[in-house]
Amino acid sequence: MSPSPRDNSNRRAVDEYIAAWSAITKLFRRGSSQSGNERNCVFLNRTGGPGRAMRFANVSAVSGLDFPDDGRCVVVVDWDHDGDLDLWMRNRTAPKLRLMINQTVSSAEGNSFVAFKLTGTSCNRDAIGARVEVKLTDATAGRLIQTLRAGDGYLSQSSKWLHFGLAKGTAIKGVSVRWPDGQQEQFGAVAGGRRYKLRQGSGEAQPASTEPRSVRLAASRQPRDTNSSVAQVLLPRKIPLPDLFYRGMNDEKKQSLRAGSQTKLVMLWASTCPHCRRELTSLAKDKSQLDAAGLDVLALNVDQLSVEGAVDVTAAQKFLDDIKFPYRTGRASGALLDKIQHLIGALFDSEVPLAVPLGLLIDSEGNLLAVYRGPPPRDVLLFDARHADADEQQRRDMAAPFPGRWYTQHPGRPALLELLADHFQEDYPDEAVGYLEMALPEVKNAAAKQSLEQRMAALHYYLASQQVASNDLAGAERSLARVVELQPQNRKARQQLEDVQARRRLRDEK
Amino acid sequence: MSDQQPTDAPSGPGLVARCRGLLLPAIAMVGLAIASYFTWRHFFPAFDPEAREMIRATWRITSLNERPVADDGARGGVSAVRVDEVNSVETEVDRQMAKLDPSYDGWESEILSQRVSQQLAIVRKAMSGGVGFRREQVSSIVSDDFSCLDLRPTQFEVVFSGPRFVVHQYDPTAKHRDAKPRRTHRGAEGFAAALRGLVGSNTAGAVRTAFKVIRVTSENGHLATTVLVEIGVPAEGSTRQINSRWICEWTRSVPPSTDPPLLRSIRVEQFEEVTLVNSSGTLFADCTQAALGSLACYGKQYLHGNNYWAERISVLEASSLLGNYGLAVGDVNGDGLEDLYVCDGGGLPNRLLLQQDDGTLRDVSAEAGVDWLEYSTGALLLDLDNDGDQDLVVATVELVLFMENDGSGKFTFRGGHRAVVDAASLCAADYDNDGDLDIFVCSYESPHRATGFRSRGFASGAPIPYNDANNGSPNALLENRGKFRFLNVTDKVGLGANNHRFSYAAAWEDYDNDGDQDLYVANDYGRNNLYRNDDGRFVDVTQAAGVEDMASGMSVSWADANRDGRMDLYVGNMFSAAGNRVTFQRKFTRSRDDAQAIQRTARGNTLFAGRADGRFDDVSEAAGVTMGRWAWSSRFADLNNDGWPDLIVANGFLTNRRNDDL
Repeated sequence: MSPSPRDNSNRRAVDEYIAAWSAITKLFRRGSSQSGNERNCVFLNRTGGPGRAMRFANVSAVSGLDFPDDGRCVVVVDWDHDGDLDLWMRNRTAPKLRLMINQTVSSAEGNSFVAFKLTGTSCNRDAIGARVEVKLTDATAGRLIQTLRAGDGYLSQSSKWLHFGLAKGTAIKGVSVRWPDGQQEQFGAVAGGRRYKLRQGSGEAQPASTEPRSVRLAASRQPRDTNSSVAQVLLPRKIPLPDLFYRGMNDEKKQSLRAGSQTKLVMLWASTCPHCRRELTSLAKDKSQLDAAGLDVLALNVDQLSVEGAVDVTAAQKFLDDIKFPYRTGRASGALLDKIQHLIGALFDSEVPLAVPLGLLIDSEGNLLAVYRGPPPRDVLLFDARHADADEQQRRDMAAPFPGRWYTQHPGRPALLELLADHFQEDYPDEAVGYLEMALPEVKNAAAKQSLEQRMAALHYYLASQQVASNDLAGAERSLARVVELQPQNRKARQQLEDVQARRRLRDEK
Repeated sequence: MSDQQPTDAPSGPGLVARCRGLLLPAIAMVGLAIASYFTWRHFFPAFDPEAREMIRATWRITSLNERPVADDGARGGVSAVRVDEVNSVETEVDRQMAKLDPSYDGWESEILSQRVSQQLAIVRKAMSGGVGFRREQVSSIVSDDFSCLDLRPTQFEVVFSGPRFVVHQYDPTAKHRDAKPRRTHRGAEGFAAALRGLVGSNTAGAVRTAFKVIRVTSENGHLATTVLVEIGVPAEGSTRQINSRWICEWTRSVPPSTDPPLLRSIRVEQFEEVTLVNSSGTLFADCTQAALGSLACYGKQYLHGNNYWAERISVLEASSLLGNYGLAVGDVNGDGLEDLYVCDGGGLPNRLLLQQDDGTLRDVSAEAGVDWLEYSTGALLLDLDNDGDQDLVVATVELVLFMENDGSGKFTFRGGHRAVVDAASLCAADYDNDGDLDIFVCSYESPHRATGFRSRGFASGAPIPYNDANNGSPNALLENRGKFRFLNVTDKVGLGANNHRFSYAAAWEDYDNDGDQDLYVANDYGRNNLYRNDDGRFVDVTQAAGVEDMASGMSVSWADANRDGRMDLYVGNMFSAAGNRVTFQRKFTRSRDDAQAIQRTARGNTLFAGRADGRFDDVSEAAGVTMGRWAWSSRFADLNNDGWPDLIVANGFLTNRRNDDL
């Protein structure tokens, strides 16, 4: 990839570098891994004596913590109160949680512990920032100090019990606490193997409850992620479709996917795909049920996507005839699928490769409501169709897989249209501009309106240059006229518009 | 909060590539302007005049959702007919994607390393069966003139002996007078015998071997690799682990021949053997299913990773493939048992799980009022109003939320603070010793936001320059003003210095033992910050203290790990085998005068030893703690109760659908 520039002085180097980041991002979104399946590491402190140079041994494998998870957080806590430190771990991959119970004490081999819970009285009640020192009878053993913290590691907050391991044969002389407000306090009568509460100003370590707990958590292997390429994804917003056209099975007539007066399921299918054939058969059988729910169906065949010129849909047509498919049918083009891929790509951080059967639930106004990877179960399909008129709030709630609470609401529609425009801009600037044109009348803020107009003018101008290059003078005239409309003071565009108009006249005269 | 904008912020990522030079500056600038206008709207955002910065956002509980949920995969399926990539236009991004193939840039080491790794994979597979394997299983990778000494040295030194662990080490430089001479093994049979000798005869179950090629040198037709070897050997009564470092010499085919390299010799550079005494198992046991298995959320929410959710929850809810969501423990209902708060991505509720006496958990998220569906990173359970119970702070998509505990584990939403853009870790301390807890909020901002929908993770822009990026957005210190009101005092207290980094994590500690809380901040793509607290004013002393650690900072942990009374510091970073292989090549070191600095970014985790004079020594390599892979939480914890803090590193970046590992 392009190397990192030292600063921003070289515009081209910066652009290439940023493009390289975008490239990496794109690969991740399309399923690439980086440093995946890495095993967690554990290092045993074997320094051996106070003040010595620190030395550690790699004990990852024997620790039992070396899962190949994408690990993120580690929280330390004596969960079961058995005197050793257990861990909660949080992963990116499933299982997303692990409770790792330490087997140290239960096998009783000599090391011990002492733990303290602090309560501040003249400082903060949690006593965060307090420094605790456990003084040992053996003066050569070095110091045992810890500070009480709230939040460390990464995105992790551990227990507020301060836990001190005590090597075999270690005896405690006393405990001192420096409270966050500077007060120094000594606590006597502390023995290993116990948990104590230390209250600021009390001078006395109070043993915590020693009532035995009934913790018996059996160890077992957790399953790893079971992802599936089948999903029924209801979108939290109505998503306006770009210009999508399909052709008839046996004719070249272009028809818009947006057109129609009722909610429809667009089912993309291939005649070689058994799941598709089964789904089409089942849709045919369920027609009265779907009709009752006001749901129309359009089956678009993808058999000959990459074929130039005359296509052969005999096999597909024969299948449709065989099952007496009672709905509209047609052929999808590569461009249609590519635009659908762009649309879905704009909406999800992970881009799943398109595969058939692929269902798109589209409302009567040409908005995408849901995406079905694989055949949608009837109850889900009918539920979604029945709720085609749900408002934005209901839609958002239905899209969330679990109940809960929100304090945000989505940004306005212009922001959504911007998001879509961003995604289409690279390959389909005309679609991007279409989305921005939709956004413009809805933008009320004057400054935002102005910057949107600038962006649109720039895109129209870019389109015009493409149209001129491909000799589409009528298109170029339309684009430049729009630039002039958006930016009446743009002399360059005005001049080019006149230029294009002159060329058109010249051509017409010829 | 600092109003100083990074003046050198480059323009939006996609936009630049998209229009190929034409009209670029104009479009990019417009894009940025629009981006800053649209933000998430709250329900009736209202400013509290007393606290000025607190936002009294209202909230609502989702309406009853009766949408049937299909059991994925159980019904029907998807055909293998892929219909994507039918109409591709080559763009600058595509050209850059092509360059990500290591062979493009002529990094020969990457190709050689790949081929060496393929050969070593054959060895790994052969060893998995324990000592029973035969020479035929490894003969295909060994050259006729292969030779090596015993791979398990005959002379050890016991460097650690505790009730649970015994660590043996072999020092190749030490002279062992009474050492048994090591045998020489020749040819394929010799190699198989050497491997059998390495693993030993006491095994029970599968031997797990991992090889990592960290350096490749290829000069004058001579190919050598440095390989890290880690072997786990389950055995009756004592589980063992072997950590070794081999220098392997390989044959090198002359192009156009593409014959794979054959192993000619192995030299053992380091050898360490750890035995877990009196145990056939491991030090820790996974008890998650026993603790969580009965909860509905366990299977439905937690047994699906982020790949699954990022394919199903749209970016309109700030769902992200990255998956950086935190955990907090604390006793929220005062029953003496620690409870767990789990953050999650947009559209997935955070959960409060209460511990029962038997160690299992109960999901009380909804009735406790903390089941936020907004994208949430970090959380803290702590007493913000000094009334004796644990309140809750959550860093979410737009606000840092504050919730007051009524003592029984029921929470009341007390408002939020914008604090930063893209909040990451939180950490609390009473920085001004006024008796209440203040909150430091890290910001890991995506500087090029495409739209008002807060893009997360992968939409983030490019840090410039890579190893010293200064185009991030500022972190914030929120001062507790009582009654759940917080004020951003970052600049006022001196934390505005060097505050445009990509900060993942921070932790407080009184490193200079003067009684107040100092702060260390780990930054990705560059140098970290150590702010010394001088009576409530902070001074950036990073460079003077020797803790800049210019690498990919991910986490911070403090402890006195050598028990000298001074706090030591462990910083999570990235260890990249590929980074090591590429950046140590002569081609790379000759091409850049910052080669050493770039090498440093791939070294891995850093251990700083605190000194009496308030400075730190970087002792990472001597201590043997750099190889934490792509590290996140990297922390001290005494795992074997011997009073010496050990280290745990949670790591791994992105395990995705494709096993290609960029």
